[in-house]
Amino acid sequence: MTQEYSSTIAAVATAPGHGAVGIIRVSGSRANPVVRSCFAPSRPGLQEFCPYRMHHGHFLGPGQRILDEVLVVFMPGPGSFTGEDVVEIHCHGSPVVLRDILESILAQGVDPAGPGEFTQRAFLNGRMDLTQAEAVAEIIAATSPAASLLAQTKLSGAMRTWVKSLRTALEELRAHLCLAVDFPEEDIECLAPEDFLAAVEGIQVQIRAVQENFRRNRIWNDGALCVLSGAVNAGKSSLLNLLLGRERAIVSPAPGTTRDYLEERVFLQGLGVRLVDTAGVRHDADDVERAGLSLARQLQDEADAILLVVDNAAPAALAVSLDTPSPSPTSSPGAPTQAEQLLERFPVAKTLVVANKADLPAADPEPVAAYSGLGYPVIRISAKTGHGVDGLQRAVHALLTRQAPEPRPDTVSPNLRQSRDLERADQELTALRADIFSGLPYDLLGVRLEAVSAILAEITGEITSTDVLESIFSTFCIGK
Amino acid sequence: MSQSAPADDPPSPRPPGRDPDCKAREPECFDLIVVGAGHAGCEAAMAAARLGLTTLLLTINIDRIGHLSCNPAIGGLAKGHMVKEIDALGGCMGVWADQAGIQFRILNTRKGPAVRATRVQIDRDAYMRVVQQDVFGQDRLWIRQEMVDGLLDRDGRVTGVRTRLGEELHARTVLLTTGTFLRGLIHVGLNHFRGGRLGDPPAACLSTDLERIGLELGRLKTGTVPRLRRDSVATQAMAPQPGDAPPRPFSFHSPGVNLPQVPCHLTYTNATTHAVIRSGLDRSPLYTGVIQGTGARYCPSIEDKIARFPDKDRHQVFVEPEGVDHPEVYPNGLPTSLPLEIQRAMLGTIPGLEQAQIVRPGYAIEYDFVFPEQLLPTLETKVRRGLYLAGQINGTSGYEEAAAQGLWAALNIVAALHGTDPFLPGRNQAYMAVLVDDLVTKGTREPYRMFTSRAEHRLLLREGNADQRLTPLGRSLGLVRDDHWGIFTRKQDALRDILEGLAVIMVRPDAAMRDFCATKGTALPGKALSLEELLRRPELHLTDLAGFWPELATMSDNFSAELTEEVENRVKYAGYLCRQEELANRDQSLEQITLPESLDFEQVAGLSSEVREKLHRVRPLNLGQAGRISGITPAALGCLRIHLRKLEKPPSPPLPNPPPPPAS
Repeated sequence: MTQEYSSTIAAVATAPGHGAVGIIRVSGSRANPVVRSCFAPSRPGLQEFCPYRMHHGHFLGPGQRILDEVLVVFMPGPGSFTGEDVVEIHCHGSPVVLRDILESILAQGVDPAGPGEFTQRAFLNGRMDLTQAEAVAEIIAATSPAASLLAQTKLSGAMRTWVKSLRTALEELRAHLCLAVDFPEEDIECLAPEDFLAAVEGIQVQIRAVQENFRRNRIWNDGALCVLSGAVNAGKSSLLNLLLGRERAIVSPAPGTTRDYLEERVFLQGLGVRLVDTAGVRHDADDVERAGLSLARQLQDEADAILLVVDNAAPAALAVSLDTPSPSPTSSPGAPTQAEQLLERFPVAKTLVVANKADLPAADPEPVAAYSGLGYPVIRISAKTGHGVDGLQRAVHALLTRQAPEPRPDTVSPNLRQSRDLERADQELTALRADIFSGLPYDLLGVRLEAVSAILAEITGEITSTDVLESIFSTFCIGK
Repeated sequence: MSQSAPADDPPSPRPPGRDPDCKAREPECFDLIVVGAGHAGCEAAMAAARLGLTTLLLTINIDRIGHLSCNPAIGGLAKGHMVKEIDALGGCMGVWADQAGIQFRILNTRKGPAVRATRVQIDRDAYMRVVQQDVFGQDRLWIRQEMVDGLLDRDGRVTGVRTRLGEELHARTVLLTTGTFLRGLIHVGLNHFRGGRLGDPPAACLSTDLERIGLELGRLKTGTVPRLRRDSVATQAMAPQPGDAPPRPFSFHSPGVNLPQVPCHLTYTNATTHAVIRSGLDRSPLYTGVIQGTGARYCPSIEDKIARFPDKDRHQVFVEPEGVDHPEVYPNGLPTSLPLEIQRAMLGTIPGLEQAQIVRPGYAIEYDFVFPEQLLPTLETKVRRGLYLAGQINGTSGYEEAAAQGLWAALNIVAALHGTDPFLPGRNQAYMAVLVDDLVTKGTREPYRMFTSRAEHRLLLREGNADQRLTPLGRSLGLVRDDHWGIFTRKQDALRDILEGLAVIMVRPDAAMRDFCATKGTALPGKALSLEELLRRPELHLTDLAGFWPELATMSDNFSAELTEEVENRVKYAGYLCRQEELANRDQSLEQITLPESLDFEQVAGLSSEVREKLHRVRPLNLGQAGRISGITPAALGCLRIHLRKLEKPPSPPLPNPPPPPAS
C-alpha cells in the first residue's frame, strides 16, 4: 500500500447561505477516489469519471443514504486550478446539504481546506505567480465591474508578463556589463554610457506609467471618495439623502444637525463612490465639533471630488470664511485673500459647486456667482424637490472618470504591495542613473541592476536566478 | 564483497608531523590515493601530504604531471580570483604560475575593483618542471605511473583502488581527478580514436566501475587548437601584446618573477577564412552529429562561432608563446575539430599564419563526467564514504576550477580523517565556495566555468582581499607557512595603519591645500575634512595624498601597488561594500538553518512532488542551499521552515529526570 503524502483538502466553494446551487471543491491525490466512492451515477455502468465532463447522480452519505442529487466534474492535475486532481460537486445550495456532503468527505480522511489554501496550492504547484494568486483574492473582493476587470487582467498574467519584460530588459543590460567584465579580451562593443542611461530611463518610464495606473485605478478598486462640504445648513445632509435615495442623515432646519461626519456608498454608473457628509461650521463650535471639522479638512484633502454645497437662496460670503472655525480677526497684509484660501482648500479640478435650494428664489447678488467667477463649475439643484440631481450625478461621474479613465482589459494595475515594490525599484533606478552619470565602474553598476531585478522578482514571487549567462551566450559571440 | 580490505576502521586522528623515513617505506594502507596528476590532483596531493596524510599520487603518464593540456595560460576573470584564493590558503598554483610565468597582465583595471584579475602566460615545460620538483620533493607523498581500473569498497566505504596490472592498493580515502580521461574519445574531422589527451591513453574501465557503485555519468566535450611551429609564424605582421611592466606576481608571498617576459601577438580571421571553414562543416564531427557530448558555450570552436554568428566578419586570434624558447605557439581563438586539411587551409588565410606548419592538430575530446549533484559539499560522493571527486570529472572546465576543487577536497579529506570540522567556506567568502556550491546544488549539463557573475556577493570577493578572506583560515588549517604568515600579518598591519591615518588626519582648505588641489585638478574643499573623505574623490589616489602629507606617508613603510589598491577600494567604494556585506549577512541567516540529515521531505506539507524530488536528489544541508536549487521557490522554502519549526517542538513528553546515583 503506497502511503499518501500530500494531504487532500475540501471546502464549500460557494458563499455561505442559501442559493440555487452550492459547490464543494476537493483537491489532492485522493480527491477522485474519495468522491467516486460516495457517488451513485444515474447512468449505470460508469466506472471512472471522465475529465471535464459533468456526471449526474446521487451523493451518498453514511449508510448509503442519499444526501442530494448532484453533478460531479473531475479535473485531473496538473492542468487543474490547483495543479492537483480536483473534483467539484455541484449540489443544491442548502447549507444543510452542503454541510452533510462536506462532512462525509472529511470523514474519509480528507482535511478541511484553510482560507485561501486552494490558491496557495496553485501557487506552490507553479500554476500561477504571486500576482495571480493575489488577483484571485482581488476578484473575490471586487465591488465594481471595473475592479473585477482589473483583477481578471491580473489573473490572466498581465502583471507577471509585464514584470517579466522589465526583468528581461534589466538582464540584457546586465549581460552587457558582464560581457565587458568577464570577457575583457573579446573585441565586442561595450554599451555606451548614454545608451545605458537611455535604457534605464526607458524602464523607469514604464514603471511610472504603471504606478500612475495604481493611483488612477484606486478609485475603481476601492471606490472614489466624494466629500460634501459647505456652510452650516446649506443642505448637505439633504443632498446626501437624495443621492442615496433614502433618509440617512438627520435633516432639520436647525443649523448644525450633523456634528461629525457620515459615510455611505453609492454606485454612479458602475463606479463605486464613498459619499461623506461633513459637519458644517458655526462660530460657537464646541470641542466635539472642532474635532469633526479638522477631520473634515483631512477628508477634503484626500477627496477625489468635493461637492461644495451653497445655499443659493440666502446672501452669503465665500464658504471658506464660514468653514474656518476661528477666523483670524485681523488679516495681516500679504496674507492670502479669501478667494486664494478657497482655491487652495477646494481645488477647481476636483470641486463642483452645488447651488442648492433652486426651488426658492435666488438671493441677489446670487451667491454662486462669486464661485463661477473663480472658475468653479456650478450645478443647480433642489435637494428638496430632487430637481437637477441627475445632472449632478452625471457631473460627478464625469469629474471622477476624467481623472481616472475606466480601465481597459489590458491595463496593468498594481495593488498596494506591488506598488510599494515598484516604488523601491524606481528609487534604485534613479540611483543607478546617478552612478552611471558619475562614471562608477561596471561591477558596482551591476550590483544596482541586480538589486532592481531582485525587487521585481519579489513582486512575482520568483526566486532571483542569474539567467544572465543564458542571455550572453544567445546574443553575443564570445570564445577566447 | 568479502575481500579482506584492511582499511575499514573508522578514521583516527593523526597529528601532522614529519616522518623522515616515509620515502623508504610505502605504507600498507595510505591515508589517501589521488587518481590523476593534473591540476586538481597535484594541488590535492600536495595539501594532503603537507597536512600529514600518507598520500599516493597515481598518473597514467608520469611525464605529464602538471601538464597544461589546453592553452598555456593561468588566470583570467574569476579564474585569477580562484588562483589567489588557492594561494591565500597556502596552496600551490599561484606559486607555480609565478615560477613559470612569461607574461603577467592585470585585466579590467578600469572596470571596477572586484573584477580586476590576473592572467599569466605560462612556459609549459617550466611549469611541469616546477610542479614535478615540488611533488617529488614532498614528504609523505608517493608517485607512481599506474592506470586505475576500479575501486575497492566495503560496507558503503571505499577502501582503495585496483590497477590495470591487477594490484590492489589500499587507502582510507580515494580522490578521483581524472580530467578528460574517462572513456576519452578524440575527434579530428570524421576520424576518431580513444585517448585521454592527444598522445595519452584513456581510462577505459574506471567509468564502468563508477556506474557499478551507483554514480550516474554524463558526457561532455571540449576542444583545443592546432599547435604551430613558432618559426613558421610571421609575428612581425601582427600587433604585439606585451605584458604589464613590472609584472605583478600571482602569489601573495611570491619570491618574484624570474623568467624572461615574452609578448603575445594578435591577428584576425577574415571572410576567406570563414568560407574555408564553412566548406569543411560537412566533415565536422560537431555538425554531423558524431560528437554526442555537450560543449561549453563560452568556449566555442571556430566552426561553431562562424555558424552561430554569421554576421561577424572577423574573429581574434591571439598567438601565444608556449614558452620562452618553446618551438611551438598556441593560436588562441581557433579551437577546432575540423579535418586536418581544412585546419591547414584555414590557417593559410590568416595574416601572419599563411606559412604556419601544424605540429599537432586541433581536436575535440569527449569524456565522461559525474553529475555533481551526487556529491556532498565536501566533494565526497553520497554513494560511498571516503570517495571524493575533483576537477573535470565533476563537469567543470579550466585548470583553476580543477585546482580549487583539488584543494577543497584535500582539506575535507584531512578534516574527515583528523575528525575536525569540514572545510566549507561560504559563497560570500570565496569563488571556490561558489564553484562547489553551484556544482553540488545546481549541477551542470555543460562544462562549468567560473564567471564573476556567478557570485552574488562579488564585490566582497576581490583578488586583492583574497588573503584577508582566507589566509587566517589557511593558517589555522596548517597550510600557511611561517614566512607566508609573516608577510600577511605585516600587510594587515600596514593596511590598518594607513586606513587609520586617513581617518584621523584632518586637512584644512589653506594655501598649501589650494596648491595641492590645483596640481591634481580637483576642487578646493569648502571646509576641513579628513584625508579619507578627500580620497573618495575619483580623481585622487593614495600616492597623491602620501606624497603631499608626510604624516600619512609615515603611517606605513609599505605603499605597494597591491596595498594601495586595497586601501583605495575600501575607501572609495565603502558604501557599496557595506551594502553588499549587509546583503551577504542577510543571506547568511538562511545558511544557519540546517536541515537535519534525517529530514524526510515527504513529510513536509505543501511541497509539490517536483520540489520534493529535487530536494531529495540534492539533499541540501541548510535552507540557504535549498533555496539555490533551481525550481525551489521562496514559497517552498517557507514550507520547509514551518516544518522545521514543528520539528523543534518535540512531540514526545519531556525527558524524565536523570536517574538518582546508584546507592552503594
